[in-house]
Amino acid sequence: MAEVLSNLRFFLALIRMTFKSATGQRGAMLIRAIFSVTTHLIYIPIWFIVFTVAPDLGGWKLEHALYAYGLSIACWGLVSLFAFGLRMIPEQIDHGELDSYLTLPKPVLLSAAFSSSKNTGLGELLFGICLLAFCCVRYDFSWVPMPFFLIMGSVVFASGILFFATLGFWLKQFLGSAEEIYFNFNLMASRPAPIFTGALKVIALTLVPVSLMSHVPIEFVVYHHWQTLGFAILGVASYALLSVSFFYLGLRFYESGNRFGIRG
Amino acid sequence: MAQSVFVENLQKSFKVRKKSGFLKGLFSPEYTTVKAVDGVSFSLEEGERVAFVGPNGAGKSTTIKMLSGILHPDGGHVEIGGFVPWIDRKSMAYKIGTVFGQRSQLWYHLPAQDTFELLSYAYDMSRDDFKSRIKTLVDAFDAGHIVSKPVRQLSLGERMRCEIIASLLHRPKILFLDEPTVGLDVVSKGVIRDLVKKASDEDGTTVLLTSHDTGDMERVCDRVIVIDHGHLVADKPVRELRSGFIREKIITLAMKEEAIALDMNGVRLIEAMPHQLRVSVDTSQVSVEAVLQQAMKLSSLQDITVEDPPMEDIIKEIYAGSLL
Repeated sequence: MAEVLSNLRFFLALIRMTFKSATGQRGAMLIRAIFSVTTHLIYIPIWFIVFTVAPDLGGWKLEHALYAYGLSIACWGLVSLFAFGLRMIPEQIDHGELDSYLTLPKPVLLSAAFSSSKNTGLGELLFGICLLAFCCVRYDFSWVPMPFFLIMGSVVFASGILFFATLGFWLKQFLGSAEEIYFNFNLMASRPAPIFTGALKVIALTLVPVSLMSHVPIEFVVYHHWQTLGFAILGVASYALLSVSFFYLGLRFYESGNRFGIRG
Repeated sequence: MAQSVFVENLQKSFKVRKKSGFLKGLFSPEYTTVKAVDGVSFSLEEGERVAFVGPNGAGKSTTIKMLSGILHPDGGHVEIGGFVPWIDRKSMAYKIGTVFGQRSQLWYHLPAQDTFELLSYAYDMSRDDFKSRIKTLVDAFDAGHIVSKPVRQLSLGERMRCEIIASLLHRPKILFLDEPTVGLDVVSKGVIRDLVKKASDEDGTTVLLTSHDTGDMERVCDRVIVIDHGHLVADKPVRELRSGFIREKIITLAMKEEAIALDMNGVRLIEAMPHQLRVSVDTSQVSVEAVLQQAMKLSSLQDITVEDPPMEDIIKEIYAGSLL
């Protein structure tokens, strides 16, 4: 218990530092946030056009697509804002930046994940929450599970990022490929569930469990299937555990390096 | 005195990809194994200051990274303050401090004092303890004016002072310093060496310092371990190495006169160019001061540089068998 509290205090101090460092360039942060909102706004008319042509995609309607989109963008934003370091793990491995984290008496993953923030995350988070709020108001979805789904989706997304980023311990210069995987992970989560059938459905529930991030929450919002939600929570916890274990396995193969550099 | 660091038959290899054509490299890459550390054994008593020296690629940094829990060794046994680094990494971290000259633990855009505060949470220090400790260290390192500036605005020497404060914050029993003076000017090197020595004297901290600068070992350490190609080649008190090899100094003189002749016992000519002379001085036969006085008598000096011999030369001498 004492160790958990100690880690929690360190985590809060780390988050404070990360935000202090990120908000040092307030102007840049606001501009990036505004641009990221604009980028995502462009996609909304596309959904309207798609669902005007085909109002029902295997049971999914416009409101479900908007809710899934809002959820996936908000989760992407949350992870970018608070745990951007996760996305950068392949680069941290290549540059030997885990060295200073490994000499601290705290979990390496905590420092590696929460030591940096991406300023577009703020815009993505705000946009996603606004879209979710719009769905709640316009289509009468319940507000209550929204924070829970945001946390659950972010854990799935963060675990997915961690899982694929960990490959960087074996594959050098992996950041570019990893970014492609993260992007596709998020893209899949924002697409209607009925397009995932057969093998794709299995993948969407296991290796790339995007269904746990957006499809299951929407099913709950519509049908209130508690059992499905229960299985999803179990799946999320298992996936998180698998990713963390995979990272610590990879850490054994960490080779450090002598690149001149500085943290921050 | 109790043992602080115990290393036995430590080994570490890296797989390096062989150069080959694009297609062969893509579909059928070949690898070769490079032994970075090959059966190194030594131990350090509590409070000892030991230099771990060798030329580039000798295995110094790899060894210190294994001792500080960063790298997993392929074989051998290590105990740091009773902990095995790769098993008890977190518990051991409370007992050790690390400084990597080539890498920073400071946050680039923030003042160093913010990093110190974050580290105080990492080491579970109480607020009162942190405040009093940071005051002591900032006073001792005369760093009051630099800890509040963003790290990006600090010179390399100032940054290194902050790095050492960060590493001493939690009162470590053992300090690992990996090339702490790399890239620093002569004055900054002197400051860093004095501060490390003072901190070790006051708190009884064991110091293991890697460097390929002979000045670091001469001015900070009592004992020196020389490593080359992953093998330990010498483990001697610094005074023995000094009497054997570091007694040599290289003096470069720039003068108005085109040429002068420094005929003195213990002075050997390395290179003579118009208006410049480079000599080696055996300090056991003649002092640097006496050589400079003689040079001033013979010429109008415009510039003087006094250097230690390169570590590569010392290693060569050790291999030649003069020291072992």
